[in-house]
Amino acid sequence: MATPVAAYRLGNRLLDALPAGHATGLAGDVVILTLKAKQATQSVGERITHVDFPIDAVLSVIATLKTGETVEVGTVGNESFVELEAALDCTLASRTSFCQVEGRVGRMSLERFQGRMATSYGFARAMRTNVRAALFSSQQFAVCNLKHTVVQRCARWLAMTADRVDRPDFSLSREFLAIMLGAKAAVVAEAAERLEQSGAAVYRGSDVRVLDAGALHDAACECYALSKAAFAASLSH
Amino acid sequence: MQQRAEEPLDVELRWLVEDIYGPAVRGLPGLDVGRAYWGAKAAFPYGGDLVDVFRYGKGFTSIAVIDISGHGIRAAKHAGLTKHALRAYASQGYDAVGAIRALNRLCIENCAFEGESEFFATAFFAIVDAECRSMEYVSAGHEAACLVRGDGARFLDATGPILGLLDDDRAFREGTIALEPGDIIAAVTDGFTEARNEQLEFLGAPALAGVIDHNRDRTAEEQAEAIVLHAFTYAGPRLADDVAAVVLRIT
Repeated sequence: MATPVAAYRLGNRLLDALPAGHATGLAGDVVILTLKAKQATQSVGERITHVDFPIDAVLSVIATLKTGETVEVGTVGNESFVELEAALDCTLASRTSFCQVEGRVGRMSLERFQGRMATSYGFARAMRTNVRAALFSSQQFAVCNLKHTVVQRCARWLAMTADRVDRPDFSLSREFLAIMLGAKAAVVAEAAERLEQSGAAVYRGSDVRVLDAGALHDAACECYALSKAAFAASLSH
Repeated sequence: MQQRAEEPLDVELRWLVEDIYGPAVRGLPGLDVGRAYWGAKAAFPYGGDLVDVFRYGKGFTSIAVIDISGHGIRAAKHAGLTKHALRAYASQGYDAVGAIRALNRLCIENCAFEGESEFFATAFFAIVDAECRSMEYVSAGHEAACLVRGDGARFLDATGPILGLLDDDRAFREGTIALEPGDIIAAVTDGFTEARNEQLEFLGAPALAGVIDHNRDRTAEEQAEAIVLHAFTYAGPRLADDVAAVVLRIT
């Protein structure tokens, strides 16, 4: 059920970091929705109708190949927004996105979003700076997928998700993680075992618990810290 | 005493599982359908691969090749769920994409309701009308099926993502093919394409067209067996995954 935002501070770090004067009236432009896990928020090729600013939900942006294989090309939490293309004047979705970890998003209609992009320099600058961070992360993860081990990529993924939900435990099956990483389930299960042996994180069924964030960050490749830093920089406008 | 008491249950369980994976395909007017299966684990030879052929309504035949995540009895449980759900949707008049969309939603909602770990499945699902010589199909994250006819072979690209991943009907589309006498359609699970030889090279999808072309004068059953045998011969003891194949010949 949609609830109008009563007062600002939404819980999405990108919107919350908007300079004073550029957030005026934002509460009236955003409605808070609770998304269920696996709920689609946009389908590839369809007209973009809205932009989602995650609060405690985590969204996935996926690419499906001609072979039907589906791989995640972006994970979005409260540091960013989904339908980045909307900030680049696109009106058609180039990817499918869906809710990966159940939670809330602030949803803004495309019309309102475009209106703000056209009339508020501060808002437009914040969105474009954020798109730049997302672009940097995408490029970094392209390198990551080529060069880093499944254990490193698993650790990066778990660390990023823990940051986004802002708690050490969350639901995320190994099978799902395997699909998102484009890896075999058995390989991801082995990687999860390695992380458990190192004391970084433990799996119980489909639930993950980060036991030692420092150890998890150590197990992750440099891409985790680089992406995190890129978004942090984009939020300090 | 305890051992003797368990024996009937083992027999019942085996019967139940074998029922899910199904008996041989019976004769179908206008079609020659054959299937073959090789289980990688001798102790429990039924993994997550399932082939189902179902005749219903006014001469329709549904063909499903499904690869379910996981192994063992849990995968068998999900195999039973998907097999019978697809049969039910088909016999209720759903078209191929409608049945797959409904199954996708069922995968997600059933796991959420039962509070169990999610499962995923890739599927090639086709509905054949032998009288009208047409086939509608959905390939959801599955290995591309192969259509062989007089002028060569072509692969049927995916028309949707893996099942159980996202709740979005729009993600699935349907393909249709006008069938001709002599057409052969073959679908396999990834145990075939991902079979590796001594040099660790994948067998790959093109090999499927080769096997069909080489055996095109044989029955569908013989062709399905030739497909599985080809993977087995190629990989030898390295064949670590189940292999399932179905072949459909339009007569």
